[in-house]
Amino acid sequence: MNTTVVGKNLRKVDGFKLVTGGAAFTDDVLLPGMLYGKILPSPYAHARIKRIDTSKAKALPGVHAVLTYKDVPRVPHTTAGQAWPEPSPYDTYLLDSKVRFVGDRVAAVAAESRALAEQALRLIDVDYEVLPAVLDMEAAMDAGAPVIHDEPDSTKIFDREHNIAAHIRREIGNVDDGFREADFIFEREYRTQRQQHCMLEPHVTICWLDGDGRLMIRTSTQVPYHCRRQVAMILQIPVSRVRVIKPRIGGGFGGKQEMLLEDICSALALATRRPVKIEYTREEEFYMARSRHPQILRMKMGVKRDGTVVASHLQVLATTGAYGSHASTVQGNTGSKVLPLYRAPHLRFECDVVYTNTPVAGAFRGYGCPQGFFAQESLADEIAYKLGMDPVEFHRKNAIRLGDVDKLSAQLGEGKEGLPRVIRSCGLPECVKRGAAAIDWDRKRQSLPARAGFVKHGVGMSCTMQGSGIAGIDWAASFLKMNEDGSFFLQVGASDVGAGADTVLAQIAAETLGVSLGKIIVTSGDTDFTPFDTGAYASSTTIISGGAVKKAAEKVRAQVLGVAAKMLAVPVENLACAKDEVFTTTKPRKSVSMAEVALQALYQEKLQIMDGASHYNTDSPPPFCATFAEVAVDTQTGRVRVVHLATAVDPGVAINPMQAEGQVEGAVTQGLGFALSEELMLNHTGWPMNPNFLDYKIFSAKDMPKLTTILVETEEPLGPYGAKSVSEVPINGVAPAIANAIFHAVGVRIRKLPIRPEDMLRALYEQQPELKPEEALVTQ
Amino acid sequence: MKSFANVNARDAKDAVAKLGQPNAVAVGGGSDLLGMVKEHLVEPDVLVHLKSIRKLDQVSAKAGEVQIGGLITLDTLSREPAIRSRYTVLAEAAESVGTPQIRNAGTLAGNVCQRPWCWYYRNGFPCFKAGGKQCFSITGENQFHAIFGGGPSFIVHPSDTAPALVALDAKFRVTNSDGERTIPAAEFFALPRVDAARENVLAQDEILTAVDLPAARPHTRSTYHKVLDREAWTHAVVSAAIVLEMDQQVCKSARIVLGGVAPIPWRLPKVEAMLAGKPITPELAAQAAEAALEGANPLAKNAYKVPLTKAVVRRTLLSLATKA
Repeated sequence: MNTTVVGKNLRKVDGFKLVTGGAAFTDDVLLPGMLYGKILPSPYAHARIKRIDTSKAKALPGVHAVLTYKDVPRVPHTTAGQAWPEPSPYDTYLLDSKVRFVGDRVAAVAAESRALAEQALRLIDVDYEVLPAVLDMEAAMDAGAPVIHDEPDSTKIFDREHNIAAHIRREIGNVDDGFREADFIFEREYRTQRQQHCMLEPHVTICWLDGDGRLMIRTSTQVPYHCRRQVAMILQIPVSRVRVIKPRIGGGFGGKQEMLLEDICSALALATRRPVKIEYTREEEFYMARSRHPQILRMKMGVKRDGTVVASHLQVLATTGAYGSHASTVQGNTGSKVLPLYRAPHLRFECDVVYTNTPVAGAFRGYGCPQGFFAQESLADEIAYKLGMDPVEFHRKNAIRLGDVDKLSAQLGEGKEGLPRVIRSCGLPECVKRGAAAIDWDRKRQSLPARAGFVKHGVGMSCTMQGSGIAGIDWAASFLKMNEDGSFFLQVGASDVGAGADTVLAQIAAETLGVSLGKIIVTSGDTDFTPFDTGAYASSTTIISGGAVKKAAEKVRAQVLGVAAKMLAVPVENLACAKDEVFTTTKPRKSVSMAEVALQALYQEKLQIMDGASHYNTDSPPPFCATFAEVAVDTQTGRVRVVHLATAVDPGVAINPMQAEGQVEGAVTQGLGFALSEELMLNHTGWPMNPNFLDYKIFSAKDMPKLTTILVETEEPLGPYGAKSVSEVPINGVAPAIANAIFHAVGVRIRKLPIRPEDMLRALYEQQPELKPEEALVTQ
Repeated sequence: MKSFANVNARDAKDAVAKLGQPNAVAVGGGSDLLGMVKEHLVEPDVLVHLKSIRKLDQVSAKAGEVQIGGLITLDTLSREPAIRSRYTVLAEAAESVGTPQIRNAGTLAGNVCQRPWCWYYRNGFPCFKAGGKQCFSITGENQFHAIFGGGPSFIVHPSDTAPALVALDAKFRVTNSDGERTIPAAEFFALPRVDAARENVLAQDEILTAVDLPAARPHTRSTYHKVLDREAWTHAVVSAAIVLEMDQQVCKSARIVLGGVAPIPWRLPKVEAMLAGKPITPELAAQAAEAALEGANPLAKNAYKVPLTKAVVRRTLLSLATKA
């Protein structure tokens, strides 16, 4: 494609501000008279508040408000930042007389300092009736298990008596027939853990009333418009009385696709008529925010002798924790985005999502796919091994390809029927080829794990996909207006959460308008001043918001050319724009600068060149990814080191390749933690044991393997300038590629994440007793 | 966080006098203490700063013996040429602590005296270490807890330098209101059955001011091997500090001390005796590893430490003995 701005490694439009410490983030303002809000977390996993006395806390000088369930409206809602009507159950209350996990809201205070707020919390006297709790998802549906949502006013819960938030069963073809056609059937169980987002900027919200008494919410959110709608509903005020301002966000990864602090912070601001800030501490972030849904996956695949997959059946049991935020949709994705990777005619997906008295799960990069692909790609490797096939060959034979129609997506939409998915671009074969070359697959599959000694090397791979926006649901609008100097204001509802949306959207506008990137000034995510956008999630921003920007820019370009045509006295058809000017495409060459066009329009024609556009897609083109890992397994300590991780991704056209590579590297870093070290652990009473960065182990710089990142660009007809998406898909394949490499290295299958040294050691002793330390005593 | 007053100590004697005030706590590097104050694990009225004491951060040699000031930072200690060459185990242990930031702030005395990192204690559970009457790990999440010497508390001692100092047969100089007393490193640490609330014999108004290392014997080599579950900023899952005095291929004497397995640095005298006077062969190393774990008493979730510790003892012994 012949472009001048799109596809170029241009610097982030907000990069200078960020690296020089300029005011960018929610917490970078200090409002006069601002109070500090703090939430009292429940110390019990399941309890009823029998009596709550706030008088001592209220009497503390400097405390301006103490709120309990008695002081706020009771409106069932979901905190999931999803398009209305949200498919998640309405099972959550601003404050309630019942608490359902350790960390659930009991009360909230606003005081003149953080220390006073903390002191006030300690002065709240609560009498709890402690209820039996259920922490284990496998016990949640049992007869006699405590019912977590026994309140009558919650809605959209699938089966509250059995703690089932959501249930899904979908099938294409006939799976039972499919298994009868198969020569071999493989069935295995996999388990994944509770992972936390660990975004650098915790959740933080500042609320105040403006001069007109309107509620202002400055907040770190991926979903400003959903947040505005939900807060208005919960506090029973008109949407028009609420403004949500999204500054630059310091990482979200799905954790901020959630209305989390905005409601309670608003309630405190309304109660005190003063600005109030609530910011989670890191500890609170771990257990009072959101996490990845833990799942138990039973995967069954039927294959022909030649390795052709004929049928797949995936059964999932997942827990959403105490509230059903994203319960059905994350798990729906585990089926709809994972099973269709193989072209089997018979697919069945069944799932129960249960409540437990544990921290709440929610959206998290990959949105159900990392769990599903861990099962599917681990099983695929096992099948290939049993059939004597190279896993690369197994994927070549079975993977979805150009022109295929994925029918499971038609059945599994977001909370309702979806739309069929047609593969219009597919770089997966090339991803596999280049990823394999990067890791030296053919040679290492043969030569490893021959190395003597107790450290064994192996290589493994996986193939994965994702989506680009939610088909038929995600949509966005944008607006552009021209300034005197030939620059343009671009207003978008989209949220730059650090992934670089402002830059990418500006690049699309600049390319379409024929101006340099510096001529686009972006304002994003302010519900008073930017048009609607469903938000930064589901890998949607580039393709959906970008599509809206391209449409608006095309309309504005037409206006620019109209003015220029008069100035140059040539027909519009003979004009083009590039490099900040409009010029004739016919001889003689004549041109006017963009600034001249702007001055002409504003002061002669009395015309503001401006326009907006809305955009959505009826399909969600998948980006594809092939992940190749080389690991070194210390058979004596159980330590698994990843030596090299090669990730080849088909993102469509990369609007900014440098940023796209950054997204891949960030995703695989979280994928490495998911595979090897990260788990939020609870004790038998539901207490978080490791809510800090010392005990919850994310990868440090010293742990990082050599990374090879390869962009395999394809041109997607539904995307602006051929773009699809990139930020989620690379996380999906890391864990299975590593588990498969471990098998190659030591012949041990690990089907439970994360694979910590103690887990690896245990598996070695169970599955490979001959690798006990008696083996080769070579010092390395 | 509760507010407190800061006072600077002029010298060790002054520090001890100031620590005599009610609810006073000594602070060296402060890399851990501040976090504990924030978490309400300690709520002092007065912090007595030791960094204001001059010359307590130095290494000096006298008649072959080496004296190390308790205020030396872990980073400086790990780079000190005399330590690196003759007391390698200590340099390696210091180098393995935390992160560069922690090693730049944290001191040797602070590392030796630090409180446990058991996640029950650090999470506000009212356990023995917090003045309570029980150890929550026994029936709980005990994957990182003790396999030796546990009861009634099952913490593991978190220090990396402590096993190294015990292996080197160091002497700890402690200042108190009467002056100074000297305690062999091995006797400085106390098992929970002696006092479940504390990890060592220091009284409230005593400070660890210096560490004396005996003259390094010729043909002595030493190393610290730390098994990590992350490459930085983590405590030892298991570690081994080993000092070997060699005569050609024969081990004249050995000192082996384990970290991460017990509430104190865990010395293995029986294993040391097994090795004395013998060449360290793979077979002997394997026997030593088996003997090292005799009497281990794992809890429900930390049995993996048994084979892991065996492997660490065996591989560290062998690699040190065969080191050129």
